[in-house]
Parts: sequence; C-alpha cells; structure tokens
Amino acid sequence: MGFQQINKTLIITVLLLHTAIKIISAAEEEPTLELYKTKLGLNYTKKTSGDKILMARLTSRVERKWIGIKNAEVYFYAQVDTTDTLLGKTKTDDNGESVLHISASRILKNYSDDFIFKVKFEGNETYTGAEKELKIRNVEMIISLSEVDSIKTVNIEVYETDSISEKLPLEDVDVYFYVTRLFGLLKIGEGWLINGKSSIEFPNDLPGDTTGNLTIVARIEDNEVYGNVEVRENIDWGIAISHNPGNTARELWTRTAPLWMIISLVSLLSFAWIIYIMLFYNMYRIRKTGSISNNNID
Amino acid sequence: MIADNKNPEINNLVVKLLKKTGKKGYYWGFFLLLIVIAGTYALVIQITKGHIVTGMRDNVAWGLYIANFIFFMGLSYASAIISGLLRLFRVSWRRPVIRITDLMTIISAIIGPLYILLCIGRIDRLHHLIVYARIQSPIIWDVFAISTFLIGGIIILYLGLIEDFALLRDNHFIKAGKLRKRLYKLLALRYNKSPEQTKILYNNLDLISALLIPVAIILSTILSWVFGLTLRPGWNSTIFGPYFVFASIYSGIAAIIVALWIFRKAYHLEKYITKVHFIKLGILLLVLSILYGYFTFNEYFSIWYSSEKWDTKLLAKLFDFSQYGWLFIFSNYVGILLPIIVVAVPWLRRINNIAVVSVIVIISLWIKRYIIVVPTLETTLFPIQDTREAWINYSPTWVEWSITIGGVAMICLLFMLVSRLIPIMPLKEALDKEKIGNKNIVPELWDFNK
Repeated sequence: MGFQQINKTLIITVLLLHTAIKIISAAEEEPTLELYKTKLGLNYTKKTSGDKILMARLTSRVERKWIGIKNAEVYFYAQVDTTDTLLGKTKTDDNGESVLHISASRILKNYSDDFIFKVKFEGNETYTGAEKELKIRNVEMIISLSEVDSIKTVNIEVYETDSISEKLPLEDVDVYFYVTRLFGLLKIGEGWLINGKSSIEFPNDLPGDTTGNLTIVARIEDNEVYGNVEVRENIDWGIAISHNPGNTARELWTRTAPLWMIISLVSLLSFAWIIYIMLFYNMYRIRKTGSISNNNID
Repeated sequence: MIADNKNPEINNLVVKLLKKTGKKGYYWGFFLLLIVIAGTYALVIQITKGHIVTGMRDNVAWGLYIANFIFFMGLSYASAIISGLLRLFRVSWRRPVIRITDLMTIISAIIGPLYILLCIGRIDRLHHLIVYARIQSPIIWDVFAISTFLIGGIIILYLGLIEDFALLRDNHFIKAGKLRKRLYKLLALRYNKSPEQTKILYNNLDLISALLIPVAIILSTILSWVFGLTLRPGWNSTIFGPYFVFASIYSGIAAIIVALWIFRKAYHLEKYITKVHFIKLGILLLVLSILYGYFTFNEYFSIWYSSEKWDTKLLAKLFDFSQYGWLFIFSNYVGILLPIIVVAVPWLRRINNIAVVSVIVIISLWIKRYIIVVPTLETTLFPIQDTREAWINYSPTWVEWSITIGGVAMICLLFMLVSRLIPIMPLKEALDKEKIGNKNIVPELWDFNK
C-alpha cells in the first residue's frame, strides 16, 4: 500500500509539474500582445447651404496622454429607415481627425425624423476598435439683416420641422454672432432664442474689404440636441478699407526706401568709386612719369 | 629698364613660372575643360527646360547654387581681406601668397555670382534687377556691392602686377611671342622703377588694400543679411554678420593653402614656397578655426537653449543622423577640430598634412553653407501635409551637381590659364628677396624646423 501510495503521489506530482511546465512554456511561446485602447469623438456641423460636416477624432491613451491616431480608416454611417447606411470612409490626419462632407440633398432621416450618425474604427494590430453614435435633431436657421434709421440688426430664426411640415420654433438655445476675419471669427454678440428668434445690433466700426463687404456668421454651437448649426450672409456693412498706398512704381529711386538707406548706400558706393577714379588717375600718372623718365634716359 | 638679366635666379624663376605648358598641363587642362563642358551642357538644359530639372521647388527654393554662391563669394572676400592685411602690415612672408590671393579674389567673384543667377527662375528678366531695383533689398545691395568689389579686386591685382609686367617687358630670357611682349609693354605703364613711380604705385596699393578690407567685410555681412534679416529658424541671428566674415576668412585661408600646395608642386617652387609659409598660414587657420568654432557654438547653443518650437524642429533635423546629422558632425566638429590638432601638434605640422586638412576645411565649410540653407527651408512654419515629398524636402539633381562641379573646374581652369599669362608669384618681390636675403623670414615664436 505504502509503495502504491508513493507511486500515486509521484504520478500526480509528475502530472502537475508537466502541466505547470506546459502552461509556462505556452505562456512564453505565445505572449499576449496588449492593444492600445481607442476612443472616437464625433462632431456635427450644418452649414448655410444645408451641407453637413461630420468630424471624427480617433484618439488613444499612450503614456497617460490622449493622442490622435493618424492614417486610420474611419467609416461613417447614417441610420436611414432603421438600417445603417455607409456614408463614406476617410483616413485620419496627423491629429487623428477625419472629416466627411455630406451634401444637402442626401436623405439621412430615419423614422423618428432625427439624424443618427455612427462612426466606426475597426481596429488594427496596434489599436482596438471603437465606435461612436450621435443623434442630431435637424433644424433650419434663417438669417435676415435689416437697417432702420442707420441701426443695423442681425436677425435669426430657428425652427424644427415636424412630420406634417409644421414649424416648431426653438426655445432657450444660445446663439452666437461673428464676422469673418483673415485668420478666424470675430465675436460681435450673443443671444438666446425666444420663440425661435434672436437678434443683435450690428456694430458700426468694423472694417470690411475695399467696398465694405464682410461676412456675418450666426451659430448654434456644441448643442447636445442640435449639434453645430451655422448660417452666413455677406453684406456691405463694414468700413471700406483702401489698401492702395499710392504710386508704388518699382524703381531705383522710389520713396518707399527710407532716405537714410539711400544715403548710406550711395555714400558707401560713391566713396569706393571716388577712390577707384583716384587710382585710375594715379595709373595715368605712373604712365606719364614713365614716359618722361624714358625721354630723360634717351 | 628694371629687369636684372644677369641675375640667374630671377631668370630661372621667370622661366619656371612662364614655361610652356607640358604634356601633363595639357591633360589637366583638357580634363578640366571636359568637366566645364559637362557643366555647360547641364546649364543649357536648365535654361531651356527651367527649374523643373533642379531639385528646387516652391518650398525649398534655394539649394546647391546658393551654397556655392555663399562659398565662392566668401573665398573672394576672404582673399581680399587676407591680401589687404598682408600688404598693409608688410608681412615678410607674403610674397608667394599674395598673387594667388589676389587671383582668388577675382576668379571667385566672377564664378560665385553666376550661381545666384541660376537661382532666378526667369533669367530673361535679369535686367529687371536694375530696372525695377528695390533699394530696400539686401540682394540689390549685393548686386551693386559685388560689382564694385570685383572692380576693386581687378585693380589690386593689376597694381600688384605692374612691376612684374615691366620686368617681363625687359627680360630677354622669356620666350614670348610678339603679341605677349606687346601686351606686357602696354600693361607695364612705362614703369621703370623711378622713385616717383614707385611711390605712386605703392601708395595706390596701400590705398586699395585699405579700401578692400572694409568693403569685403561689409559685403560678407550683407551676404549674411540675405539670411539674417529673414525670420526663419537658424537664419534670424544677430551674430550672422561676423559669423559669415570669420567663416569666409577661415575657408579663404584653407583655399589659399591648397592653391599654394598645388602651384608649389606644379611649378617646383619648393625654394620659394617653403614650409614656413604653410605653417604661418596653418597658424592663421588654427586661430580662425577657434574663432569660427566659438561662433558656431554660440549660434547653436542659444538656439538649443531657448527651445523655441520652430528652432527646435530645425535642430532635430540637424541632429538626426538619418537627415543632416553626419553633415552637421563633419562641418561643425571635424572641420573645426582637425586643423587645431594638426597645426598645434608639432609632429603633425607638415606641409602635406596642413594641405590635406585645408581640403577638409574647404569641404566642411561648403557643407556648412548647405546646412545653413537647406534644412531651414525644409522647416516650414505652417505644416505641409498631403503633398509630394519632393516639394517639402530638397535633394539636388544631376544638373545641379554638374553645374556645381563645372564651376569648381572653371575656377581651376581660370587659375591655370591666368598662370600661363602672368607669373603666379610676384617676380619683383622674389628678386628683392634674393637681394635682401632670408634673414627675417623665421620669427621667434614658433619653431618652424620641427
């Protein structure tokens, strides 16, 4: 019995050891590669023309920082009649951003009259996949500009359209007003919608282009229900700025060069050339005295 | 008559310097001519097809050519400064050096500006530079100043030659044709060593030497301003003016050493161009390498320490061994430290070693000009995405290389041709040296016999 008991214990020990070695070697042979987790953000903007822009940002947390993943393929979908329809695929740029333009004519609405967008990254050998859904209620924004007794007003009207084409004005939504400048937007005021309407008085001191034209922008920004909606309108309410500096013919003696510069350059060059003339005269003197000396020798 | 026809030494030197070209000379001349022809062929292609045959594009609009321009103009300015200083301070060992220096001033000032013309897209509108000149532009200052400088260089060379022309006019040992004799006679300006003529001549030489030194310094500074006044990383630096001046003199001394070494070998001038000359010039090279190294350190250290975003991007390129790292090491370490070691260590201080080190200095300083120009232009302020690699980064094409090498060959060929017509060493001063003896040549500070 004693011998059998020892034998059993030995066999179990050997089996256990074998299993343990197998597990360890298997773990060594197939190291599990941990993928970086990713996150997708999705942003919606509706433009004046009715075109929509979807912007996705794919990020990953590397060394405790969220960094954009570049060159990743991102798929955009819209839920139309309960099915996901592919809108398009794009690649992310250096910041992990990817943009999709959707034409105004494209039908996106589903049974609930809302837009349901989805963006998807399928993952690769380094990153896990990710997706994000965004539900947006479509609104119409109309801008109108009026001038009464030289008071210029920017008016906004925003409404939803229900299933029987009835206008439903928006309430208590913030609206921001801007004018476009060379490198961005200049804020000129903000308001909120009462019965779907809002207005601001336009300032009189903004510079426009050569004929006073400028572009006024009204926006609903980062709204949870409506996303970003903007309208733009051009009007000559700016101060006309003339950049004509007068006669700027490109010529040597133009007044555009500062006087001190002209004086310095001309004096330096003249100084050198006066010395050259002196040297040439001295060469002439060498030749002249040489001939006299020769005559003397003769 | 100023020639000493009875002096065998001077006759020997005259014969040596103006002897007929031998077989080797013809081979060399032919070889150089072939390279020049290849360069000219590339030039024709560039003119007919436009800049598309070069590596220059919208973003990096300057490349090899501008590096050549700065380099050759630097040589020219440096030669004028060195020649002026040697003359004004009556440096005793100047004699074999001075003519080569004067020639380098002119030849480099002729070839150098040709490269800037190649950077112009519409060469047919070259005259617009003058017709529609903008006096605010450092490039226009360069146009006026380089022309003035070139004429100054020709004057100084000619004035230095008058005595030699007179000597050649009177020397019966030269087997020269009638035309050449007539030319010598014409150019000698009836000089017959009268006290009055000698006084005028030397006053003239002093005057032009004194003028060309500041002119060359100003020009070198203006050249630096083409970059220094621009708000770009690695260019917008307050020390760029003096940095360019010292870099020019540094490369100029190295080029003079190499030219001396070549002419010494080619014309067997070992008696006239001695170890003393190489060591003296070597010491100048050493001093300049320290000064240049000091400026280089200041330049890069301040950029690196301030860590401005745009500058940091440039430095990352320069330190990256897959981009400009090796060129950076070669130009800023090898090109600076090697001359110091070779000249400072007595047993390394040999003619051939100094000549080899000078060649390395010349190459390193050319590379330095290249890495001043190109990496900065490749470091854009605005990010450029989704465009062709060739539009962002520059790589020179065979056309640019051919024109560059053709230019170097042209300089060598011009030196060769000119040395057939005029003595490469001042005969008159060599004659004087024969009379005065060799007493004051070796100063006490350095032991040149080691």
